[in-house]
Amino acid sequence: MAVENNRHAQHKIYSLFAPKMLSVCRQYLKDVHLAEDVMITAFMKVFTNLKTFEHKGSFEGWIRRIMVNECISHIRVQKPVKFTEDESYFEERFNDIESQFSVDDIQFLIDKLPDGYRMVFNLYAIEGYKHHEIGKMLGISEGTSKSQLSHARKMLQDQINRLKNYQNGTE
Amino acid sequence: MEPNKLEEDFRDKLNSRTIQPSEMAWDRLDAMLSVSEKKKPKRNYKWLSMAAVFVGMLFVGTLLMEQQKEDLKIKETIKTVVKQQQDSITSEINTTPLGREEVVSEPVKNERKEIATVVKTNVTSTAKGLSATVIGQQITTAPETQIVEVTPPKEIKKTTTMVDVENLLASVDKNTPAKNNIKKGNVKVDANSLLSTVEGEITTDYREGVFQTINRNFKTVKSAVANRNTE
Repeated sequence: MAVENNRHAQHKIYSLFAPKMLSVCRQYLKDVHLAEDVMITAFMKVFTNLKTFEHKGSFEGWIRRIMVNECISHIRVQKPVKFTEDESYFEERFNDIESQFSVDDIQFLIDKLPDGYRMVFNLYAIEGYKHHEIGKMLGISEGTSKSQLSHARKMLQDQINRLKNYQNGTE
Repeated sequence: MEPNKLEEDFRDKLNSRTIQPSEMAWDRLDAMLSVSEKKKPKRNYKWLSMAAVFVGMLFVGTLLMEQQKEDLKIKETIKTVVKQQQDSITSEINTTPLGREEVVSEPVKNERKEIATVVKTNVTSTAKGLSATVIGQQITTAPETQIVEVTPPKEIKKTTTMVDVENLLASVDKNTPAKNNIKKGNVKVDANSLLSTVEGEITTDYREGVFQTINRNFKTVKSAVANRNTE
């Protein structure tokens, strides 16, 4: 029905997925209002390209991919992201610490990352894309994607440590 | 580079999060969808226009085909008519060999009469006979060169004192259609050359027309497709 531009059906789809998709957009964009703008544009693409959905994967996954691509293209259009062509990367692992972070803390930590790091970290760690897929999406090499991820992890680890020290100091 | 526990925790928490969009968000999306739906009929018109161009091309093609058929018919009729004419002319020539002479002599007679009257009024009685015979001879021998020979009236000047040149010219001008009649009798129609020229013109025109229409339609289709891709 939504394929035939039935506004009621479109509204139902929107109501069902909009809160989740706004959360996805918010992961990539620091400003919630901007995230909402991008989400609306992405929903436009969802409804105009509804005929192309092949019913192979989940519908939510398809919408989510459109949202992520829209966020990436928005960031790249607004401010061209410079990815340092650094092919060397290091095995950066988080200390196996039990997370006591709320979702707002996590968002705060992710927001602190530069655009390039944040995009690669979100795509790899949250969305589950492989490095060669990320490379294609962002127009960078697989090695650059790996190095961006390791830098992002290191930066996050430093921030977590600082946050922990701050929390320990206040306790 | 495997995702570790902390990242899994990040993912779980972020994926389970929901952020309620503002109430205005749906209205904005609704407005955008309405605008895009209004734009859509344009595309249909484009396809319609393309279809119309195609139909037009077919129509023009059929018209040209019909025209070609008609041209062929006309050619055939021309052939037969020319043949008939040719046959009639040859038969006339064969049957009445004196006919041409008659045609020639009649206007010449008229000319002679008129010139004679003009000369009568202006020329003296002695010169009248001479000039009349001279002009008469000229007309009978070469009626086409009459103007040249009559207008500078050397012989008349010698014998006459007053010759109205304008009257003479006017009288000669009156006789020009007669001259044309004489010429027409001598015209020979080469049926084969006539047909070949007509045929050549028809084929080139038809070919050019088809190429032009194809070219024009191709351009319009190309531009339509290009515009569709850019939208």
